[in-house]
Amino acid sequence: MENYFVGIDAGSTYIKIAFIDTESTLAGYDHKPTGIDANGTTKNMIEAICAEKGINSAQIKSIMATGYSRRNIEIARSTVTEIKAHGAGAIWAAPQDISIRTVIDIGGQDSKIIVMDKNGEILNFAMNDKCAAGTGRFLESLARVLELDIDQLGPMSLNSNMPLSINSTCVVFAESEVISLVARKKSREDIVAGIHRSLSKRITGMARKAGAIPEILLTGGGGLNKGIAKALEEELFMEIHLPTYPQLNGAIGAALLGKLEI
Amino acid sequence: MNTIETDQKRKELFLRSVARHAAAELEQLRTIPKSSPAFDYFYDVMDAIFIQNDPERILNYSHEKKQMIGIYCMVIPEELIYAAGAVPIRLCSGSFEASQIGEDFVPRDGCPLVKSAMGFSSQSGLKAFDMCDVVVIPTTCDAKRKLGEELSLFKEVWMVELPHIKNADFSRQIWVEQMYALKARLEKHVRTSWAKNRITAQRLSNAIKNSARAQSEIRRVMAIRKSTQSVIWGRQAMTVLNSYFYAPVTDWTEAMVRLNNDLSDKIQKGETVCHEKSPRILIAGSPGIFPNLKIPGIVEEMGGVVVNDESCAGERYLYDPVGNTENNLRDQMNSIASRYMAPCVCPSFTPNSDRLFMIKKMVAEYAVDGILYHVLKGCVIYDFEVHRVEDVLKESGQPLLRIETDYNPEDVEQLRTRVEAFIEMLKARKKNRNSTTPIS
Amino acid sequence: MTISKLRWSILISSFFVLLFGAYLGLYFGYVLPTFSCCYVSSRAGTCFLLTLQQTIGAFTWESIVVFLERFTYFSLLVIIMGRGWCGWICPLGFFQDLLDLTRYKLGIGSIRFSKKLRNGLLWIKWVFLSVVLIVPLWVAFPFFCPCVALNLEIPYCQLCPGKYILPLLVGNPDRVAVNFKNNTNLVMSTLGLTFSAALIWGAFIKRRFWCLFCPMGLIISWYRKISFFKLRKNDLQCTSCEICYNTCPMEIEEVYKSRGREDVTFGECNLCLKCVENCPEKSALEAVYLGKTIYRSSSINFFKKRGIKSSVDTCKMVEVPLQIQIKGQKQS
Repeated sequence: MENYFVGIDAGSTYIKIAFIDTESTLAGYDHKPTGIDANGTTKNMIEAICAEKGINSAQIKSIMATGYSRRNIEIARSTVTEIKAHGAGAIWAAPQDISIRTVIDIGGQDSKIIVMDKNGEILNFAMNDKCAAGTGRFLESLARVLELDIDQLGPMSLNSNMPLSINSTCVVFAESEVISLVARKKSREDIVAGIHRSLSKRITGMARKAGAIPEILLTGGGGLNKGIAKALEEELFMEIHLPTYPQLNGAIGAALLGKLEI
Repeated sequence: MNTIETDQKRKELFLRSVARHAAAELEQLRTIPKSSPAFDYFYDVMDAIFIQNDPERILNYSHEKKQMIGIYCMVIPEELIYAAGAVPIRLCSGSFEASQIGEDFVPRDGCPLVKSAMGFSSQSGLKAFDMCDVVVIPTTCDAKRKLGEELSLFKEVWMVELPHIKNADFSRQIWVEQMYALKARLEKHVRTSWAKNRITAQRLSNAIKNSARAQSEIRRVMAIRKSTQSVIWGRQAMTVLNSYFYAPVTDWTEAMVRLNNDLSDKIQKGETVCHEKSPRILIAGSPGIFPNLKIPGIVEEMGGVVVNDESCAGERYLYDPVGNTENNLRDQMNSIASRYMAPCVCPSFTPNSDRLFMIKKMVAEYAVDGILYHVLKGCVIYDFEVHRVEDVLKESGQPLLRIETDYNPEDVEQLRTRVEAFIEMLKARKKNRNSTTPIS
Repeated sequence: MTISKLRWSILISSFFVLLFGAYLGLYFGYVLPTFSCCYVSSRAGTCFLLTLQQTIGAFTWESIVVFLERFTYFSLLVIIMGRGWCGWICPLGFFQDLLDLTRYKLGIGSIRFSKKLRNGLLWIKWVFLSVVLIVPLWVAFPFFCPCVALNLEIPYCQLCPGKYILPLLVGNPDRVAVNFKNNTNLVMSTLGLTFSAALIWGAFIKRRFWCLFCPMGLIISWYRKISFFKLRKNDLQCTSCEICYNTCPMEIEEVYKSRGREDVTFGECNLCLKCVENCPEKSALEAVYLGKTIYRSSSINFFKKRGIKSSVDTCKMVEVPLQIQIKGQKQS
């Protein structure tokens, strides 16, 4: 009977769950909007995965929660900060033969830079949880202004040759700026590329202060967006690697840490 | 309601909110399990100042009313004030409620300590501030200099010029002159009921000795905190040290002797407050002052223990003794001037490399695992020194977490995340380091 | 016994041994690195400055041989004690310390010289040294004004306060008089008496006044790198509190100001160890002999001296490399 270790990344917008087995392979996962009742949503998600994969509760040896609402998850047996969780997840998600030393996590409402040594021990970190610039919210708001789906942003930005500059730091004022660019008949590709560039500038500032070094892994919702990866490469002058499951990085890391504890 | 009634009402509401905050902090301190009864004196001092609003209770000079002189920073000599027959009260303040009122006078991005002081001074009501009719302020940093100007709207302010280029000859000259000037002013201002208000060598000698006793007890508690068996929490130590601002030196020293005896006992019996593996944190930077126990509170909540506070409200305030060898005024005044300027490592001095030596020494002696560098919003001079402190730590390898905050309790959650991650980092390092030591 | 009391005992014993030693049959020769004055008939040994003046003043091969022999003994004595000769043995130093003690007992404060003033007075001891070393050459080869030169005989000793004060202290007031034998002697003895009066008044209001001008001290200070008796500083313990500077009779700032150097035996320092005695930090300052610490500063003793029992010393000795590079700061 296989044993499983559960990791919960209870963010403020989305809850991500990952199931890891004893071989440290990903056995099941899910992500859903948090809604009002983080606790209830989590419980339902776990039960759903168990039902789908035919796992009974005795096989679950640890439940580790991370993320902003981690302390509210009753079903969790212990908690860990997202810094540590993302670091652990990055070691797991690292592409073949690449030693990940920096994790850039761009989430819905915050962003983090985590610098580690080759064994995954955290050396330094920086967080932005006070301002929407540099987070997924920046992209969401501006996508809405341009009447686009957020998934379209990445591919569109890659098609641009001349990213425009968006000067406003604050997302609210950036919206007005984007509207005026549209009125001036600028191409949407260029505007979108400019949005990505603005985001990556915020992140780069934070990354430099934290002492980011290659190789870099991009996680969170931002990790789905190749446009951000390109923009970051151009600002940081370092290669950005994308994991297979960027949004699950925290949950996977939490599960792995839970497994270590046992 | 006429203006007098509105003012009265405003004062009552203000004092009540200040008292509420202080009471919440004291409640948390008093309910620490197995806490020594020797702490009660210090908590009572805070109670009397902030909650009961009755400083005279702790000053217990009922038969002879002594004048209270307000002072700021750690460079104004208390010995001179005691020798003149008055009582010094350090008014550097940590109240969020007062800092909100102070924003009428202090720029929004300015130092919260100064905002808090202005708040208490402009909105009268807290007797500890009201009873000081003279306030002595040194020209340390920008904020203190302008505080002097703003405060003069409400109180008599004596500015004392602190030269900033410490090593220059002219600096020592200016500072000694300022000390004599302060002495003269005190003699003129303080009238005791029985004539004679001169600061004589004998009175100064007594005052120096009283302070020396307090300094000796501080060194004792520092030695206790150096032990890997922690018997006192950082937030308790901070409250004890902060109570020195208000309590008379002799009473405080007596209570400290009892506390130190108790704590030494606890070390003997092994009654520690936390596990030996808890990460030992040094808080450096801008001062945290009661009731702003936010930073040590969060650190200790997240599993660390604060073993030393490098700020000017911590042990540094009372560490250095006055080293006169002769009991004549000349030698005493000279030694007092030296004690208050030479070993002070406030970043308002330039250059300030002595502070780096002190931090290095502290990190080694207290077996510190990590440094939490506390920068108050607007405190540019402490912020300037962060990278130098980081450089010094590269040799010994301790990580540093820079936290910028003010007195507002709203950013507690964000601070918690950072501090928790930092402590996790330290725990992992400690574990790895221990596991790599060879078994002999 | 405190280090101060020890130093006083040794100063008193040296005074009697050096100035009355002949009665006990003691004889140390003409090589002493201290003011054991040739004008005191009961002395146990003689000041080396006399040798210098006599051998240079004669300038024959025999005198050079005598000089070399005595110089060797002199150097050995200096290397053994360094400027401890000044702080612990010199009779003139003892006399100055007595004057200082009198001032203290009378409740009068002492004056201090600013660094600028002290630096401005440095040239005086070099003048005295040239009177010891160069003027005797004129006596040996009197190319001009031979009458003056021949009357100079031992030029420095005419000016030295030792000639007038030390015989007085052993009960012989004969030297305290202007010498009317000839014009040269008139001038020299008047100057000498003036310097003696200056010493007495100066040492009363400023600690160890004469030591600022002393040519013997200057010569001994040249040996400080190789002498066995040194002062050592531990950077990490020092809080720059200035107490050592305040207690130092020679007002040496560099002890507390310097960083990154272990050996803080400066040229002016006469190793009286008052700084070590009054330093409030454990082992920040240490008196070192042949590399071994013989006396160290202590926080407990600091407070004990002032009547406060401190129950525990506040630091563990920390082994750290002393070359601490602070970015952008020049090392002193």
